[in-house]
Amino acid sequence: MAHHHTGSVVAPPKLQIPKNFYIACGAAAAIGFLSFGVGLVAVDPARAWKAYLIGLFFFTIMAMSGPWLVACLNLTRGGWAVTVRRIPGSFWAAFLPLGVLAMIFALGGVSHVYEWAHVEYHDALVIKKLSLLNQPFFIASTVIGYSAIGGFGFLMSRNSYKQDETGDGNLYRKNLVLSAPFLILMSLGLTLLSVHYVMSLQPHWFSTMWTVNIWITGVQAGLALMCIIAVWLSRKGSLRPFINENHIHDLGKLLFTATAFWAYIAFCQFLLMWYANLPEEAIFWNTRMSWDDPMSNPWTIITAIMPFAKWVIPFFLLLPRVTKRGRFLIPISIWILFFSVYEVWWWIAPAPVPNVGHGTGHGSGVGEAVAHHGPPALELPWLELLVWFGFAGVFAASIAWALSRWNIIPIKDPRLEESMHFHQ
Amino acid sequence: MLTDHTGSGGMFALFTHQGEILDAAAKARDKKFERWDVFTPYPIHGMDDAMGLGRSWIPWVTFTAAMVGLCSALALQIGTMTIDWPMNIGGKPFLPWPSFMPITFELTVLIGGLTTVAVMFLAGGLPNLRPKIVHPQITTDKFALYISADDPQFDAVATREFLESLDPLTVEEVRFDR
Repeated sequence: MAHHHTGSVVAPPKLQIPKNFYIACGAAAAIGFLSFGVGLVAVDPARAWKAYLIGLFFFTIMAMSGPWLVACLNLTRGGWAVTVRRIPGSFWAAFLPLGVLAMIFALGGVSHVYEWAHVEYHDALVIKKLSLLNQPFFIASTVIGYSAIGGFGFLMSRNSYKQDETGDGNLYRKNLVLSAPFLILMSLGLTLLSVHYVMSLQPHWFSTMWTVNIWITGVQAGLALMCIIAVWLSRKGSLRPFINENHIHDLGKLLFTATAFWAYIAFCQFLLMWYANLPEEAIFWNTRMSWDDPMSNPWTIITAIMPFAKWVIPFFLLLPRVTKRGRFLIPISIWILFFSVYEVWWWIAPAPVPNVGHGTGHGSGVGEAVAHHGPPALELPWLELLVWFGFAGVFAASIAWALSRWNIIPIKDPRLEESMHFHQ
Repeated sequence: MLTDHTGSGGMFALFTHQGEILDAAAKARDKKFERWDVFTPYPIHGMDDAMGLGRSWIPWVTFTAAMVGLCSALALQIGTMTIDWPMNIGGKPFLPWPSFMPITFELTVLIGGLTTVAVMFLAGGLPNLRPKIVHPQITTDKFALYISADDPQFDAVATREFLESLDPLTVEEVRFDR
């Protein structure tokens, strides 16, 4: 272990993404955004924009986990992960298209989805929040959030890409300097995005744990995707000297940690709101479940599935050593990804929308919609799913491009040798 | 581990490189010795496989103790708050399971963690204030493969022959002073 010959490592060939993959991504994007257009015109603009928001927000928080993990690995000098670091290191590429799509939402979707955008629905509590809840601020938080997370993610990855050519050890030091302020900026940017994009769907409601909940959901989904890509890469003969089952195991352990931490945060948030039972806090839960008469709200069953699907089942599946070290990780990760989308749908779909024009929105638009108009309807989320595929196509094409454009292994990283010999 | 718990002596071979000790350990494993150990100045990656150690049984102790903690926390709270003396607190149900969760979580972690530490001490023979050290250099720059005289296959001649065949620096007999 005392000898480091990083210059002597032979670079594996760059990743080849078949043309059909990009064609499939393009087809998914076309179907998704055509469905969105159809929904906008023929179904219900509010529902179509909410479906758009579900896809946009899911892929935004999942993409956020990439730069976040890269920054953490830089700051902790995580030598073990060097050979798999280009996987989260490719997620920055999704921020450019997602940022454009978010700007479209900020300009076109806000008035369809958020009741605070309608002066006729303002009550005393919403009026107090108007300095935050207004469209210019919404646009500003979009710009700040997407450029902070995606921009720093790009800068950190670019230094790593440069190192592939120059072998300059100082680039690693530059990334340390970028990583620390990035984590602070990312937290602030994600707070702005989570408050504006999702928390303000029910503008009376607030939770100081909301950003943490959103962050860990994104990290859990992102790690699940990283596990799938890492297992797939480790099967390639050319990468066998670089990615072994111990790297997969540690990514699996991080996924396990994220699963446990999600349960901790989600339950803490629920417990405090359930215990205090303040109307403006409990409104989030009263929209999504009924404690006394479970059958009166169709969303009760959707809510009740969450702790089992997102924690109990993946927790016990990931607990044994063997499931974290190889192919079992793929079905478990797909399960987690599915229920991360489910959670984002659960955040956004049941929230009341402003009842503008001919829309068939669920509530009157006033914060107390549930109290006055009964629980939100539970509709088969066909439109949401189709629009989600549109965002999936954009996201998959972006990271596939970044993974294949540069080396899949940071070939001159000072810790590459250490990572290649990673054991337990 | 630096110690010999049996106190009955045995034989060890001394090596200078970690590659040698890994090969030697793999050969001792294939000879199916039962009471033997490897002493190294630092942890060596791959030694578990070379010695054929398999998986530790400690996680099962942790899991069982954690389940005991979970059940006792629930029994304590449901017994006192729901069955023995039901109390109306803030209009919540008499079985307010969400408010039981923090204590349930804490006792699960506490009993699981403390039991694991205690069992690790027991399993490792700790605390051991007077460790018997096979050779002083195993804490600095040498690697030792030690076979206890308690091993069923131990034989003063055959075991020495086996250790010599590993091409070590020296092979020495161990006699512990009581």
